[in-house]
Amino acid sequence: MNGSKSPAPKSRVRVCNERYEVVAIERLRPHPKNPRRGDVGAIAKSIAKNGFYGAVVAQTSTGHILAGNHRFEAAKREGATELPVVWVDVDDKTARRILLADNKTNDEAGYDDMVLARTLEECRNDDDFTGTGYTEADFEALMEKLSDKFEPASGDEQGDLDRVPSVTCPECGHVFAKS
Amino acid sequence: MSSRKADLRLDFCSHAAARYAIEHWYYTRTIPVGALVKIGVWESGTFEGVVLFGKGASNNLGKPYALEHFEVCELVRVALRRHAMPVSRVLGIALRMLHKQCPGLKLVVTFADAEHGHHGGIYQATNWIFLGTTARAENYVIHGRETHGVAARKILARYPKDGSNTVTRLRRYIDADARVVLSSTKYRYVFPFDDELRRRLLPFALPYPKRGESKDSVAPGSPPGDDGASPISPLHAC
Repeated sequence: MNGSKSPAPKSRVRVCNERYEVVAIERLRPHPKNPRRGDVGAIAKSIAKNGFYGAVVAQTSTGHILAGNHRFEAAKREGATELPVVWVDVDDKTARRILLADNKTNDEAGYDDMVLARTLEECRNDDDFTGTGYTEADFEALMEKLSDKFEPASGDEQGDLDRVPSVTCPECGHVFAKS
Repeated sequence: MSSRKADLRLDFCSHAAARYAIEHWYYTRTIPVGALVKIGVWESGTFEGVVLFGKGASNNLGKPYALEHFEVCELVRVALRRHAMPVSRVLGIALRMLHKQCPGLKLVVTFADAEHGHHGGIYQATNWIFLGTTARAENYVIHGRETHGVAARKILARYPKDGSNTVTRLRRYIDADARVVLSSTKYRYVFPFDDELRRRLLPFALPYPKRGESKDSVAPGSPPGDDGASPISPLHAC
């Protein structure tokens, strides 16, 4: 720390006026205009397995949840008495936009099926699909869908079956072939 | 049929593709661990399966042939579904691709599970050398799945060594219901990439077994132990 470090470039993203707090669950209210209908049961299973991570986003003035309404319901179902919240100090117009944008931008997202399949495989190898929202049937359906889409892979992804084991000298760094 | 044949394509494939093929079109449904060369098979653009090469379960795979571990590999899986092309053709191309990818390899070994009715017809059709049968070895059933003895000992490596035998330690640390089973007898085939090695191995070749032939009528190709870890003496003398 010599004080000569140049200052970080000024961010061009406006961050809402917000603060983090863990509050009694009674202080939070589901947003009455939330049009989204989620799978609370699946989220409850995730919370039971993985714990509650992150925080719900709520409007400071009303206590209405703008992002995380279903997580709130699921946590309540799982017996939560307090939850982490990020209070955002925004007017009602902005609050409505956040409520809609949070859902809609998620709807616009898609999946890289190959990456999804690999990640699910890792979960299954570790344990099972509990807490992921996926089932064995989902995985099977995904793999069936992928089976006709498997594309050739690079030779670099293949194992080195003829790799000669080597040893590096700790003194000079010379690499010797191990016989 | 002929147009499908013209559309055959073999290329390297991803682990996900290999796993899919093994889990759906191979009788054991298990994919080996460790380094693998995964050669996918496509017919008319549709993925039809995989040919997998790996290092095998034994660290002594090359020992009987006086080869180093990095000079030998094992053909561990051929998992195909509704393919039109003969498997022997697929295997022939896969072997050439393997040799190009890993030019240091001198020999490929494979085992046909006689007790599952496999006599190695595809190896016979691709001119592999038959070296007899393997001896039975002790495997372990862990959580209901038969596990090779070497793999079981690798699993145990992270647990304390208390002087007791493998099955006792498995029961203590991994699965209280673990038990010993004798592995099935397998037919051993080898495919040398090297003409000189082929010439040296041919005197040990036995007549190919026939489908349905009793495995007991075929001479054992290796002494009991670790999948033929004991050397074929004349090869060592060369």
